[in-house]
This record gives sequence, structure tokens and C-alpha cells, in this order.
Amino acid sequence: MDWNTSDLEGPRIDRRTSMKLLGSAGLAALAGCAGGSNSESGNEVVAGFNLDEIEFLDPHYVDKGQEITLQSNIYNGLTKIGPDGSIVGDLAEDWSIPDSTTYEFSLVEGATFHNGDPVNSEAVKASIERLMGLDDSPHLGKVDAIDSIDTPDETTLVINLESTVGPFISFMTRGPGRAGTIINASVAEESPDEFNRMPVGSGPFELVEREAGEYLQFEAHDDYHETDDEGNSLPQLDSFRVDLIPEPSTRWTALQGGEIDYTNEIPAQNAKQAENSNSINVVGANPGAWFCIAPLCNDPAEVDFQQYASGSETATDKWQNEDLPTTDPDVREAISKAIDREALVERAHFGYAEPAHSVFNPSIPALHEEEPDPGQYYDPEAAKSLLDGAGYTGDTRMELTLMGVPSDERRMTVIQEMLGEVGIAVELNVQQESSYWDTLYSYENELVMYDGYVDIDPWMSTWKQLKTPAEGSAGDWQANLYSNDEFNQLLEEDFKTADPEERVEIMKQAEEIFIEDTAWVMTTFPLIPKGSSTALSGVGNQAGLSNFHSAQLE
Amino acid sequence: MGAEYSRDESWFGIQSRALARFRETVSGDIKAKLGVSIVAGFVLAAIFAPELAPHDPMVQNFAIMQSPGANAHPFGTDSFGRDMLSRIMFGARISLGVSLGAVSIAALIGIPLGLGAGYFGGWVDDLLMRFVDITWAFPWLLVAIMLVAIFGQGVWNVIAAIAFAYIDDFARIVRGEVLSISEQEYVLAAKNIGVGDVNIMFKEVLPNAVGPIIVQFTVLIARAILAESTLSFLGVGVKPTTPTWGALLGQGRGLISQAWWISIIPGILIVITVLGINLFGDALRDSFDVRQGGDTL
Amino acid sequence: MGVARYTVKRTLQAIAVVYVVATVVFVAVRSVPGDPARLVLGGNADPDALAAVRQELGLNQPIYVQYYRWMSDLLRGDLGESIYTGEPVLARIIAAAEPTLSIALVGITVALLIAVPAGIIGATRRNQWEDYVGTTIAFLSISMPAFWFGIVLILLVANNVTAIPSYGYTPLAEGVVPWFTNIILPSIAVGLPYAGIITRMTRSSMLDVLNQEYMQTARAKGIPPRLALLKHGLQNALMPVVTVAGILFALLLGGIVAVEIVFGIQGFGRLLIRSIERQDFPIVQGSVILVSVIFVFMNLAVDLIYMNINPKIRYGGEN
Repeated sequence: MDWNTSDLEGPRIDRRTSMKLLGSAGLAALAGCAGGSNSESGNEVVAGFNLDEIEFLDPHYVDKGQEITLQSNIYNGLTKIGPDGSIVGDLAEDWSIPDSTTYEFSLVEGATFHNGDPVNSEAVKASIERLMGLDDSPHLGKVDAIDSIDTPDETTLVINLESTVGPFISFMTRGPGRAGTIINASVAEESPDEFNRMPVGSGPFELVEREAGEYLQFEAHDDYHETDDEGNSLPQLDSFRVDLIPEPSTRWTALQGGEIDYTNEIPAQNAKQAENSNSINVVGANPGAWFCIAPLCNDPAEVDFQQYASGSETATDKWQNEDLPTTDPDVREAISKAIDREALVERAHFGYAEPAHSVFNPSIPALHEEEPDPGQYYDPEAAKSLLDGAGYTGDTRMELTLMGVPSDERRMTVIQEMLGEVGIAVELNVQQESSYWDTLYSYENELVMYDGYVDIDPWMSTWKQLKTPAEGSAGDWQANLYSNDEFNQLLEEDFKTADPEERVEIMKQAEEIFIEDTAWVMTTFPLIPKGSSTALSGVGNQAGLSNFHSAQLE
Repeated sequence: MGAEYSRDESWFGIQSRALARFRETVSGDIKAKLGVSIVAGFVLAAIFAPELAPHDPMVQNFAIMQSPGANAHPFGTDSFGRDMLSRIMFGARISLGVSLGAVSIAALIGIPLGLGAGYFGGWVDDLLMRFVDITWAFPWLLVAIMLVAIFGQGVWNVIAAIAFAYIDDFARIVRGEVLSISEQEYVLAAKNIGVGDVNIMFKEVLPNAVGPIIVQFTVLIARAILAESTLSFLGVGVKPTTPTWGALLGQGRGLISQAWWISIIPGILIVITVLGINLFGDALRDSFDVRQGGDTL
Repeated sequence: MGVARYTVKRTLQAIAVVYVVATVVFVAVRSVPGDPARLVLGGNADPDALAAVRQELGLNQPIYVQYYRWMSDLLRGDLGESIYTGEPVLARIIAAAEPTLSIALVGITVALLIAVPAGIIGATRRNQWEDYVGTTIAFLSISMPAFWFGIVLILLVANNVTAIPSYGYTPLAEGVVPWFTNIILPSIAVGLPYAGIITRMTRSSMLDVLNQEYMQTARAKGIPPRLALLKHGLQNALMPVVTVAGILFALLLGGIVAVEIVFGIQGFGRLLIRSIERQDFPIVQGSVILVSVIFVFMNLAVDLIYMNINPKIRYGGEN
């Protein structure tokens, strides 16, 4: 057979040539179906995603759940979240922690970027250093502590930290860890804007085409290094296309009608119907998310740390003249006891959620328990006596405002009713997403709907969001002015501890304080119903992702 | 050769003539009768909702959620188990209030603008009409979203945004009418006598323009109901528990295959009500003997 | 005042109107609570990262500085770049305009093809069953929210007819047939209320005309009714229809936004809404300016045409 030299050169060998090459080497069976990007061919998946537009695919900048989902298919991390939710190796076959500030990774061989560049220790080092050099990245805090990175040989990477950072290994996962997603740093540095739009990673799929607001076309990375348990080269699919369909009912109709094979989110209210269908599969995936109500614990005018969270030096003096019942821990506990979490799961999530009795969500297996003790549980009678004891009596004991965004509406409606049962009249204040944060930091609402996503390490929930705000990154996102010195100390201890078991002990103590103070009223851990046609199998849904690495289409 | 000032052209005269003609029109025409009865039904349901509604529209009952029409709940229940019939009746109340409020505010602002522009002419006309142009060119959807962004969802944002959208309607129609009326003899006569401008505007000119104004009023009420439903659908309308018909439409749209009544029944009622208002408006138009001119339906 | 002077005067005023609208939008989007930088980076971003982004976008400067820079760019024809994607605003809008224009044009065409004959039939067969049916359908169509009708169409048609997709947009470049089958449902949803209005207008306008003296004269002269109808009747009847149709174009755009969302089409309406929600100032400002330019100058054109028809309106009450 004759070959054109240019056909064989990088950055990519086209499909036909690849087929020929593999065929001539007797490896045709591994080449997969000879389909092109024609959606009629058997090995392309069409997915409908709950997204309006994808602007950025540069993982060092992105922090939004849906984009993280796509990135998980484009890139590798040093580590990743395995199918059972535990952290396993991705580009790193194995790793060890010789002392509490040194991490030694042993990298896989043969991994390549989409453009052909090899993924060796130099490349990984370049990627991490690139993140460290970005002033405006939201993930900077995760690599703050890195002192230096050594590359003794092609497949060994040593990261030296300035001080112990307990959660560090989780930061090195692709996707949810955010910081550990490995990019092709040289391409990114050459043309950062282009990289953002057409990224270069080492994952199983490469982005080959995109139409703003319409779709993204991914094709299999021919030289992807992973194989499945049976030794088949991954990915099995030739390509997949992501159509952007933000309107839930349209997505659902498209799935029902077979126009799409997969969607990363079915509205929970339709999931029930899907369960009874023969042509659609529904899986409730756990995205490491948690929902809660954050009660305002302190009058902003009386605490000076509010400025570190809100960013503004002056605070509202509304509460100087008005009663702020949520400063009383008994009131907060009463609110917590007034919420029937099991019922909330049924009524607001249509069954696609788990009740949240503590702050640790199910994707933190070391700390999550189904019935934690201590925990937050439904007890309306106790709630009422607590309110009586706090001095709030009568048919309507108090009037509170609950602030949220349109996607919280259903939960807000049910919660309003539940709080009404114990005599708390709630007024709903629904704000646009764009004004949510400003409104939150105005501290004018007693209660706000609050949530977090893809929190796979307790650090992510507690450090930035419950620690007392101070200069620096602690308590940066504190929504409700909670402050407890003992709690803060425990968090600081956890951060400096590398040993996972020790960390579990410390976090359990911290949680006792959290429950006693009712820093937040936890409500539910949502599950995302992911729908697919029955012909599609093998999509990985850990941590709420949609990984097409091992996906197959019949 | 002076024109004579006749009482017939005054406010009272016009109204009694119009009323008589209206009765005539309605008695002859099935469409008009239909229109009047639908509107009457809507208004009565709205006013007497608290007495007539079989259930509290806010009470949630998850045991019976999303059930189709049956004895206690003839129109079924929604996804919180709330009675659809009661929510629809209270929804009529709020939808009527919102549209009446919005259109009235638009009229209160738009009519004087058109009146002044048409009567005085010249630079006053230019200034006022360019101001009207600004309200017309500025997207009302943007106004709605900005109001919600500042104040959060709520009924008053919807009223304000829709009112903003209709100011130009009233202004242009009134101006057009005023331009032709101003040439009429009785106006010139009044000027001859020395009646002041304001008096002329409000006692001579405006009463004769009332016909198209009232017709436009009814037309815009129908459109306001539709506009409110669009705003609620986009998530920039009323609060989640408020049962406006538009909000009910939006809540049911993902459930059409499972619980079609949540969306379809309010949708049908919007259609019937708006239809009735339009027929009613048509009858009014006939009775006021209004020409199509440049106004919209 | 002569026609030419009047035209110039009105044109200058039109420009003034657009200028005021642009300025109001500029101030308005900056008065709404919310921080575009936070929306770019995601809710839980570091204050330093936020500050850096704000700096890059020029948002940390006093408002009059921002205004000056924006105005001077505008006068050079530069609408700026999107805060999100960095794409030039004009390019972004033009890309989004194709689907919206497709829906609007196909919608209006379908509407006119149905409405004008329906209106004529309604007029010529007044108060007979054809008239009633036509009028009822016309009324029904203007009483329905466009997006709701779109959802119903998806449910009834797209679900059952595989050739017609339920979402998305296929550019014309990929072939007329795929483009058409993808655009037909949203076009009907948007065009139907429009059709209703036009039917009614055509009907009543025809009725007026049919009663005119010159029609009766033509009949008396023995000219076959149909010929008379076509020559005199239609011409005069359609004039008010045409002028109103232009103004109603504005109405059409309102219904398009919700339909675009329901059908998952990334058109101009959806772009505007999402940009407002995400505080992408340059796109919002650019869009509003473009739309107001179109509206204001179309209105001006219609006014000038109308002025030629009806002398009373011509000089607007100047005595």
C-alpha cells in the first residue's frame, strides 16, 4: 500500500488513513465502525444538554457544572473520580505521599494530546504552572500552596507543597477538582482565546467543530491511551454531538421522540414517566450537590467581617430597627426541625434527591451517613416549643423573607408551606440569577436558598462557605455571617492535616458544632435524572458527570 | 358665518347616543352577544372568586397531585395538589387586575401626550411624539427583566412593564383622532367664543375621541393578558405561588404529556376570554362607528 | 413647510430618538444589581479574580468614562465586544439574526398567504358561513400566546411526523428543504396571530371599499364584478393593510422571543434575553440600538408614506 507522507504527519491522521493503517496492521477490528460524522451512522451519539451557550472550555477558568461535564471528556486529570465515587488515578497510574508536603506521581505511558504532543511529566508540570500563573483564575487558591514541581524522568512527577494541604489530592482530579485538569500549556499560551474555544486536551474526545449556541461536535481521539477491562481501546464511540437545548420541555420531547440519544438532565417531573418507558433509561446521578437554606446569623451592621465576604465596606442598617429572629440559634434550630426532608424529596424533587441531615453529601463517602447523629431531622412539635421558648408565639409567630432564583421556585413553594405549619409566615423573593449574589450580599433577607455543586471534599463546602470571613480566601463566599471560633480552629486544623483518617475525625467534631449552631438548614442532596435511549449504555455518571469514555451504542 | 356651539357634541350627548347604538348592535349580532357574555362571565368570576371558588387556591395536597378532573376537583389538580378550578378563578381576578391596571396606566400617560401633541401641533407635537417614539423603540421586555432584576418577581413589575409598552398605542390613536376633530366646526366655534385651551381639550375634543380610545382599551386588555403570560413563561413575571393564567401555563408546560390539564385548560380559557374581549371590542367599535384608520386590532 | 424640509426634520429627530434610547439603555443596564464579572467566572469566585476581570472589561472605571469610550466607539461604527465570548457584537448579532429573520419572513409569508384571501372571502361572502368560520379562526389565532401554540404544535406535529424536528435551526446553506422543515413550526406559531390581524384588517378594509361609490359605479357600468374587485377594490383595500403590516412587524418580534426559547433556536430574541440576564452590556446595548434604528426609521417611512395619502395628517395640526 502506498502512503502519502503528509497523511501520516501530525497533528492528526484522518479517519480514512487511520482505518487503512490499522487495517494493514491487522488491527481493523479495533478501528470501530467505519462511520463518519454523519449522524445517520451507527456510532455517533447525539446528546441534548441543558445549556444555552458554552463560552469557555478552558478548565483553568471555568467553574460551571455543565462545562465541567464536557471537560471531563476532553481532558485528563492527574486523578479522577472513579465509577464508585472514590478518587483513582487518571494520568497518574499511582501516587505516594512520602511526607506530608510531597506528592509523588507515576504517570501512564503513551498518553498524547489531541494534537499529537506527548503527555509526559514536563507537559503536566507546564499545565499546573500555567494555572499558577493566572491571576484571574477562580481556581488559584487550589494551587497556592505549591512550592515547586520536579520532573526526575518522563513518567515521574513530584509536587512539593509549602505546607500541608489536606484536600490536595482531590484538587488534582479532572473536572470536579478543577485545578488538576491537564491542558496543553504550550497551545494555551500561544493563543489563549482560541484555546478557550477549541481546547486541546488528552481525553478520549476532541472538539472538532462548534456552532455558537447550537451544538458542539466531538470526535474520538484516536490515540487515546486508556483501554477498558477487556483490553478494548477506548473510546468505543466514533463521535458525539452535543446539541444545546436549554428549554426542559423541548429536551424531554426530543428524547421521547428519539431525536437525541442522551440528555444530561431530564426535568425531575418527567423522570417518573421515563421510568415507565421501554425506550428510555433514567439514572439518578449524584453530582456532589447540596441544597440548604442559609439563615442570617448576625446583624451585618454589628460585625466587621462582613466586608470580606460581601466586598463592600458598609452594610445595611435595616436590622438595627427591625427584629432579626435568625440570630437566635434556637430559632434556626426550629426552622431546621420544621422541614420534613423526606416529604421535600417527594414533593419538590419527585423522588430524585436524598434528604440532607448533615452537611456532608453522598459523594464524600468517608463522612456521609444516611442517618447521621447528630443531624437535622423533622420534628414540628419540638420546633414549635423552641419558638415558644424564644419568645415567638401566636398563630403567626414571625414573618420572614426567603430569597432564591427561579430554579429554586418549586422547593421554595414547598418550604413556604412547611414553615407556615409551625407559624412562620414566609414571603418569597425570587430574584434573577444575575442579581442573586448582589441581593444575597445586601443581607436584607433573613433566609436565602443556597447550594453547592460537585463538592467532593468537605473543604469545598466548609472552608470557603462557613468559616468566618477574613482577609485571604477563608470564608470568601460566606452567605450568612456565621461565626464560631471553635469551628474555625477545627477547619484550620483539617487544612493542615494530610492523613485522611485524621481529617475524618476533625471534620466530625466540626460537624457537631455545625448542627448545634444550625449554621445552615440542610434540605436535600439532589440527584440529576440523566436520560438515555435504551440503545445507549456505559455512560459514566459519577459525581453527576456524563463520561462517554466507555459508552456504546447498539 | 360663525359655527354654532351645540350641546349635542358634548360629552353627555355622545354617550347616550353611543349607548343606544351599542344596545342595537348587540341585540342584532350573535358574535357581539357572545363577546358580551364571555366578558361578563370573566368579570363576575374575577370579582366573586373568593366566594365562588370551591377550594383555597394555595392549599397544597400532595396526595392528589396531578390528578385529572374529578368530583371535588372538576379541572383537576396541579403538581402541588392545588385545585385548578380555584386557581383559575383567582387567576382571573389577578389577570384582570393586572391587565386593567397596566392598560389604565398606559392610558393615563398616553392620552394626555396624544392630546397635547395633536391639539397644539408644532414643536409640542414633535417633542411629545418623539418621547412616545422612545417608549416605543425601547424593548419592553428589557424593562420587565430590569424591574425583576431590581425588585424581584412580583405583580407590579408586570404591570409597569406592560403599561410601558402600550403608552405609544394610546398616544398615537388619540393624536390621530384629535387632528381630525380639531378641524371640526364646534371646536373652532368654541375657540371663537374664547374658551380656554385646556377646557377645549377636555370638554370638546376628548369626548369625541372616546370611541376609538375605548375600543383600543379593550383590544389592549386582551393583549395584556397575553403579554403577562409571556412574561411569566420567561420567568420575569409574578411570584411562583401567584396563579395568573400565564403562570399556570408556564407551570404546566413540562407536564403536557403527563398532566395536560394544567397547561391546556388555562390556555383554552385565555383563548376564550381574549376572544370574548375582542368580540366585545368589535361590537363597541361598530357602535361608536369607528373607522379602521391606522389603529391596530 | 415643504416635504423635503419636513423629511429632514423628522430624520434628525429620529436620530435624536435613537441616541436617547441608546443612552437610556447604557445607564439602565448598569443600574441593575449584579456583577458581570461574577457571572463570567461563576458564583463562587475569588475577589481577586473578580477584580482582575472587571479591570480587563473596563468596568471599574467611572460611568462617564465608560460612556465616553462607548460613544466614541459607536460613532466609528464599533459596537464593542461581548463580555462573555469576546466576539464582536455586530458579528454576534448578525449570526443570530439569520434564524430570527427566517422565522419572521416565513411566518409573515405564510400568514399573508392565508390571511389576505381569507379576508377577501370574508368580505365578499359577508355574514355567510365562510365569513363566520374565517372570522372565528382569525379571532382564535390572535387570542393565543405564540409560545403556547408552539408547544402544542411540537406535541401534535413534531412528535408524530419524523421529518419535522422539534427543535433547532438548520441554516439555509445546508439546503432549502432541511431549512424549511426545521423552520416551519416556529414560523406558524409566530405567524398565526399576525395572520389573524391581517385577515380582520383585509376584511374590513375590503368591506369599506366594496361599499364605495366608485365600485357601485363600476358595477352600474357593467364591468364584471371580479374585474372591478381586482382593479379598484384590492388596491385601495390593501393600502391601510400595508401600512399597518409594517408597524405590526414590531409586534411579531415580541412573540418571537418565547418561540425561540421553546424551539431551542439561538436567534436574536434569545440572544437578547440571555444577554440581559447575564449582563453582557455590549450585546444588550448593540441589540437595542439596532432594533430601535429599525423601528424608528421604519415608523418614519410609514409616516411619510401615510402623509402622502392623507393630507390631514400631513402637517400635524399646524394652523
